[in-house]
Amino acid sequence: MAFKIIEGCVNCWACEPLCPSQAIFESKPHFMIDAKKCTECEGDYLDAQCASICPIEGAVLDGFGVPTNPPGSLTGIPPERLASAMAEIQVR
Amino acid sequence: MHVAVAPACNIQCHYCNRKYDCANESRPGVVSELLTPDQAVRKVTAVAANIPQMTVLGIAGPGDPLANRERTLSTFRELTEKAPDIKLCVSTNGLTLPDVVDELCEHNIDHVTITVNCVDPEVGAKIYSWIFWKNRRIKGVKGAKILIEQQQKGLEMLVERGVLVKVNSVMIPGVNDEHLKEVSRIVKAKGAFLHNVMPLIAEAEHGTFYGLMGQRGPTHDELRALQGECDARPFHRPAQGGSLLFRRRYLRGCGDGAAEDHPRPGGLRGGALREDWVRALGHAGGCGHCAQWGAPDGTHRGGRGGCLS
Repeated sequence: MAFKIIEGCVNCWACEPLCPSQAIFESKPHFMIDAKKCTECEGDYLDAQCASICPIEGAVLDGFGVPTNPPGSLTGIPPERLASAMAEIQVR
Repeated sequence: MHVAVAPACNIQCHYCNRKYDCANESRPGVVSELLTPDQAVRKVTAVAANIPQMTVLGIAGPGDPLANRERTLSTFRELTEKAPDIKLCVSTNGLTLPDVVDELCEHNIDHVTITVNCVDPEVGAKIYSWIFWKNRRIKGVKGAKILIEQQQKGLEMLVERGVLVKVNSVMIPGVNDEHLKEVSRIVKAKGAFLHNVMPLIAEAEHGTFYGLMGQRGPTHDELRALQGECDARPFHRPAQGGSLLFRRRYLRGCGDGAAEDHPRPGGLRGGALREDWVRALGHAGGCGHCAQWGAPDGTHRGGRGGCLS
């Protein structure tokens, strides 16, 4: 099992130095996790480090493909509020 | 001038959005502007060779410089060696400041800017969503409490070591506006030489918590009134003496470099001395750690950026 970085990653480098397995590497269009190296931080930390510092909701998936930080969990912005504001802005 | 070598951040402020989708976005500090420490040193030495006025180099972002400890310190280390005449300054949210103070002091650090928006964790919980601390993400009051303790400890350590500390605060009406008077009193009592209060700028377009939740920024009059109460006059400048003129000149050195294009509405003349200080150090109203670099017309503000020191 391994974590995965997907679209949404803003290449902020926060996760890279934290990975105890050096599984995270810079790539285009965004950082990636080497699935062969990722241990999900088991044995090293209680919480997966990349998922614990990533500021972007939805950018890191756990071993089951589930977003570790679902919409609203990091920013506190209710997803429906975000969606309605974005719709409003796009109409302008 | 500033160099964007520090992309990572270890906290989430409600006035900042790490994800910026605007296609027209051209703020400094976006990923395309990111420099490695080597590139930054080359850029700085090249600019300094051509522009003698470039005397101060700041690292302010686009994330938190001290959350990018190696990138920031290696830039300082190399500049201290290769360009000993250039003074260095750094801006931080303060979370890891106590751990870095001694190493910072090994370089030509001129001043450190700490963004302090509160000294009360209950207030802090309304400003910060989370912090990353000891390998865990910590939310709410608990996270804010740690952040506040670290900021205050860092401030004390720097003052003890004779490093100038400037404090930036973002004025958020209904959240910390009244509270900032206490912040001001405390940070000055501890020896901060300047407390700079800046307005929150929050628009839905910025995608920030405050922008999307309808938090307003202060009016011009509200801001001026609070700035008056928090009094931006420098308190401690023991090593440098203290004429107003000197202070003004001194402060104008930072961030005024021709290599950067800060908006500078007004100008630097006449009796508005205190505004000069605030502008010179605060760059016409930044917002702590998110940018508000702002074009004068208000475009391209509220994302991240790096003009804060």
